[in-house]
Amino acid sequence: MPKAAGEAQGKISGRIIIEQLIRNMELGQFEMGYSILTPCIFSLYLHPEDYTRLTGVFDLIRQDAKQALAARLAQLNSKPLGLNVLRGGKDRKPFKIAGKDWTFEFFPDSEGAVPLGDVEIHSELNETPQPGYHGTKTTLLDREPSVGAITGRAGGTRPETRQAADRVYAEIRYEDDSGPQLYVMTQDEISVGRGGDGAQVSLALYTNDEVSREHLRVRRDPDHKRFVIIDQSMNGTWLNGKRLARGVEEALPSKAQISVAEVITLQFEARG
Amino acid sequence: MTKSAAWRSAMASDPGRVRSENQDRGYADDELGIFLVVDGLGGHAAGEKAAEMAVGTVIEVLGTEDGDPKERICRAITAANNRICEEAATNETWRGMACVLTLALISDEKVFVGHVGDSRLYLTWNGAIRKLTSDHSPVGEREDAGELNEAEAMAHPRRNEVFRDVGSRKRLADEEDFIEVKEFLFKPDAAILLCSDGLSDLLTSAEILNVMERYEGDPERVARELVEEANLAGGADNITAIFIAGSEFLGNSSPSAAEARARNAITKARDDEAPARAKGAVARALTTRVAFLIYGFVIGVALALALRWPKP
Repeated sequence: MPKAAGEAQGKISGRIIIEQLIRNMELGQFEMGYSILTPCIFSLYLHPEDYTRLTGVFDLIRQDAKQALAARLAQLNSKPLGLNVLRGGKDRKPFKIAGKDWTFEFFPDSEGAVPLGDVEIHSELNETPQPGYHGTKTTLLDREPSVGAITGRAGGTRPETRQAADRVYAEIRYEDDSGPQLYVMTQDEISVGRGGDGAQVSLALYTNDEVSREHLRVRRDPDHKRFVIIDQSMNGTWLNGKRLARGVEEALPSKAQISVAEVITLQFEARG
Repeated sequence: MTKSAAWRSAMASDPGRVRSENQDRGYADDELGIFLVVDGLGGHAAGEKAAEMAVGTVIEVLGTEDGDPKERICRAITAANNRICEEAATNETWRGMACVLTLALISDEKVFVGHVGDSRLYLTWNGAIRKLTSDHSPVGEREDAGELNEAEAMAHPRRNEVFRDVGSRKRLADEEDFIEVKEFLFKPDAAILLCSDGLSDLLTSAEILNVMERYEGDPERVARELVEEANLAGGADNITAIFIAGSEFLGNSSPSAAEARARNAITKARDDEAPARAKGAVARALTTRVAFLIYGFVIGVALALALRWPKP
């Protein structure tokens, strides 16, 4: 979807939200013997800026979304039977929702995982949604972990939304308890740590608990192509020998040595 | 602590949904700590013959030699290579036969790996999965370099090409660009998967992780489910999986998590390419099994009634 992805570089548009809800609903189908359930409870995670900007119109978005999803459901159910008969197919299963009505909850993304202009959607068939990442997930932009470590949160994007081929921003070489490794950074922001206990990191280190579950983040400014590093750990992060203040963004040179709790050294090198 | 108390393993292998013969071979020995997946290359019986020869030779050499595990691995794979090559020269039927393989030798809490080709070794720990072997293939090389993402690589038309194999020509153990050897620590709360490309070409790493995390103490179930999932995804090639769970490895196995995972499976990246693929496959399989149980129960009750109360 090049058009949608292009638009998503700026602020989120209502059309993208609706399109992505429809897509999520279609992908979240739960086929049974005689009918197909679609999700009807959606949690939408927006970039905090988008969230703040749209707070006043969430109700209007809900109304529009209800209308759009109900229309799509009706469309799915009204596909001409003729085609099916011609193909000698079986009776078509009706699409329906398990809940009484559609529900949409909006949340600001607190993990820094949703860029401006993007929306991450989690859906459920009929349970009450809880804040937090769960359920059927779709994303508009590429936030798949790179080749190397893939966490349980991966698997939500479709091929056309990914563009890894021309988007290798940096390489990180390191050696952990799994041996020498190369991590290829293809996202604007990655988290690094040992993961586990619900912490889903892009670069999952195989190491000891000196390293925090989410130890540090590396963020790329797409406009200026510069990188920053943010320490989030208990035992510290060193950039070229200098310890970083926790929670403070620090400029990351295009070639740098990052010491993770003095246990693992990451050799960072920006590309291009 | 005996070796086999430190981990539990199981293997599953299947011809898949398209091919009639299974040219994959696997070997899993908890006592010796030897695990091997071999994918035969070559027409008809030749691929199977090469895979069988590789398993036989590797086990024979590893079982009789002592010394540095990495050197033993190299000697074993090279012996298999040269034996296959010699055999291929003796008979027109076997001409050009070869195989690719991934071998793991567990010793003193370490895993030593010997790898040639595009089978894979994955390591799962702390909710994340890592592919520890490189794919010796044009597509795999580009994927490892980040030039192709996983979905693009899986859908690539040249996916099946490899540029390293065992058996096509005579080799030396220390030859460059032949055997990839590595070692890593086997943490007790980690799990390992060796698989042929019939599995990894059809399931993404995230999908494989999801199945591995269903582990509740029965490694056979995980190995079997991996093969079943690959078959549900099309079963385009022979599928072999060896799952090795460390003594403290625990999958995320709560029923609600499993149920959520079954539904999560529907937003996989490859849904576009295989729209007919079973969505919520586990839930569907479960439904089918439950349905059969119910049918069986009803028929059983009906029969019992008929026998106990015959008409006068």
